[in-house]
Amino acid sequence: MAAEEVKKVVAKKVKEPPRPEDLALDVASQQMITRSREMEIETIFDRAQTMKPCNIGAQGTCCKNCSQGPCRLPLPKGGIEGEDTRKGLCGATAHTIAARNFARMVAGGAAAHSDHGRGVAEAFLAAARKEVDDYHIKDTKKLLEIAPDYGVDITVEGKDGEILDRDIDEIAVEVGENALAQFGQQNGEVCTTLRAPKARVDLWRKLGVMPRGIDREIVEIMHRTHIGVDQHYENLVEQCSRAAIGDGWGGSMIATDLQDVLFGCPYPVKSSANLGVMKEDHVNIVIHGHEPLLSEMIVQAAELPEMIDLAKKNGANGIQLSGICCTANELLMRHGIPLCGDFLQQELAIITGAVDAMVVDIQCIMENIATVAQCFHTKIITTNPRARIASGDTIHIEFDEHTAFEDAKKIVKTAIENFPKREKEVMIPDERHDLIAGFSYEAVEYHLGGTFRGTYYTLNDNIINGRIRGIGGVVG
Amino acid sequence: MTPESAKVFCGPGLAEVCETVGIPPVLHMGSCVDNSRILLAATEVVKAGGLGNDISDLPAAGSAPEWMSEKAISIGHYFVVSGVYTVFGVTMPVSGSPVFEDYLYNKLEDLYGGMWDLEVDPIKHAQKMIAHIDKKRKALGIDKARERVLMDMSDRRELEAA
Repeated sequence: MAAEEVKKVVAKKVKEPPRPEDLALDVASQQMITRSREMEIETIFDRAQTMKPCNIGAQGTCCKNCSQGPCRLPLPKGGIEGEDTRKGLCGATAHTIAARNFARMVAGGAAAHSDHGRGVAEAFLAAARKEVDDYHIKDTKKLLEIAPDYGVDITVEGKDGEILDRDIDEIAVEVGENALAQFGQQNGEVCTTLRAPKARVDLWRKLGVMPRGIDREIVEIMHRTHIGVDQHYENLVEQCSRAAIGDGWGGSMIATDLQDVLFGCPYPVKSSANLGVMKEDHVNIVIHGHEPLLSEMIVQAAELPEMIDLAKKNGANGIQLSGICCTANELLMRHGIPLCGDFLQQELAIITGAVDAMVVDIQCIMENIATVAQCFHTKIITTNPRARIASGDTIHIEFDEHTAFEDAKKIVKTAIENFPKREKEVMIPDERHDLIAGFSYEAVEYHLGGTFRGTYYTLNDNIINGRIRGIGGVVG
Repeated sequence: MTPESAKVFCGPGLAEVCETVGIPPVLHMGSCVDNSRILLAATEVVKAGGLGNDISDLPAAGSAPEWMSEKAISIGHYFVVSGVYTVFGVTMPVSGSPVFEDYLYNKLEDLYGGMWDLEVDPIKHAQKMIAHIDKKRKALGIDKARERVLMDMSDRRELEAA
């Protein structure tokens, strides 16, 4: 074959990158993917074309839990007829390996939620003990509702046998202490799991899967999945159940409970979502991550007249806060602060050129935002000691609940002072959608019957009579 | 996620309820730790009565069509062991072990009343959830539409006599 012909063949083989409309349904994302290509900035949408998932990992049958492997046990294309003889060096079967890997994912997930919960519990206790100035017990109604579930009495017997209300601060301290104790508890049952229907609690007890302590069950997954420990997939799943119940009915539930008491139980609020919520003539601060502890302070700091004045001095018309990922949801449902984007839009938000600071805490933060930010004036501010970024050029302003408001002010100021440094043309897609958010289960109860008859009866009745077929829970 | 969308996208039954109550058909309940709110809402539905004694009796299903993180696996598992049929999209890293896959997708139902499933196609994904909801409606004996009949005293006497 002549050299020119070879070139032609090669040229044919180089695949055209997929069209943005084939990569995302959302128009705002399509526009930003196009812009990223024009500016030659690589995003997750490009990397997904070149990085193909490992076939054995995708099947869950690669074990790298010791140095003898990694042992790879792919399922043959046509499946296996007869006995499955696949084994790792230690003899672990494909079932054991898949169950181990699954279990470690449960451990990772439960740890993330629960460590978040622990952080909230610590801040809550500090607020209850009045050790911090910036957090207060806000929703006392919710505190009184949850206190009995944490084994805390809300009334006390007086001298003459009369029932008196207990001091709210005393209740808060005890709730905080007991909540924090659930993480390190060694024996017994995580108290909030008892909120499940009685039949469910009875079943869990019968199966022996009631979590003893939130952390303990996660640690035990890590132990059992170490080489040569639990080599029965059913037994491994049983431990997954303990850890997962300790997450959903424990760590996560405690996080939600205490966040509601600290910042208010959410009730429906109108807002909007997508990249178009950012404003070209405003200082745009995007808050990305998971915990509301810091972001609540940033909301307060951004509303300060001195900050708004500073923004104006720097040539902006105001400060626009928006959020990405779970922090966004926390702010959305308590303050109606708009949602700028989802996980896949974090790089795209920066590519608008309008983000003066992206403040991140923990979880779901792509390392590459730091690299994308280098192409713009955008400052990436890490705030949590657990989550630092080596790539790019990030600023670390560590957030401490004792100096929370001061830290938040520092962050807002950094963003404002960055506003005049925008170099590249700003291009914010004109895409935003209205929504109503903030349906806590208390809010749903209220809507179904008001204060007059607050109950889920209306929903049940309409399911029974067939107007509503059933309930679907969708998780992102 | 707006109340107005009920009329556009929902069937007449749900649209009517949403309009009467004044809520959107899709209720935003919060962040990832707020999945615990769904558990508590499901518990409230059990407590309100008429739909069985446990979460696994409810005509309800869970779905994570675009899951991505390990957190989603933990969430999925606590929904399953709380008695919810839970369908994931995209992929599940268990396909290399048909025995373990079968344990998660089928056998867990005998223990917990809930189980895992995987369906990549969004339409089939939704249909699987609906099929599970219908299965539970049948078990509760509410699978056939019933008309509300206004009864007067003579009807009641007839009922009591029978």
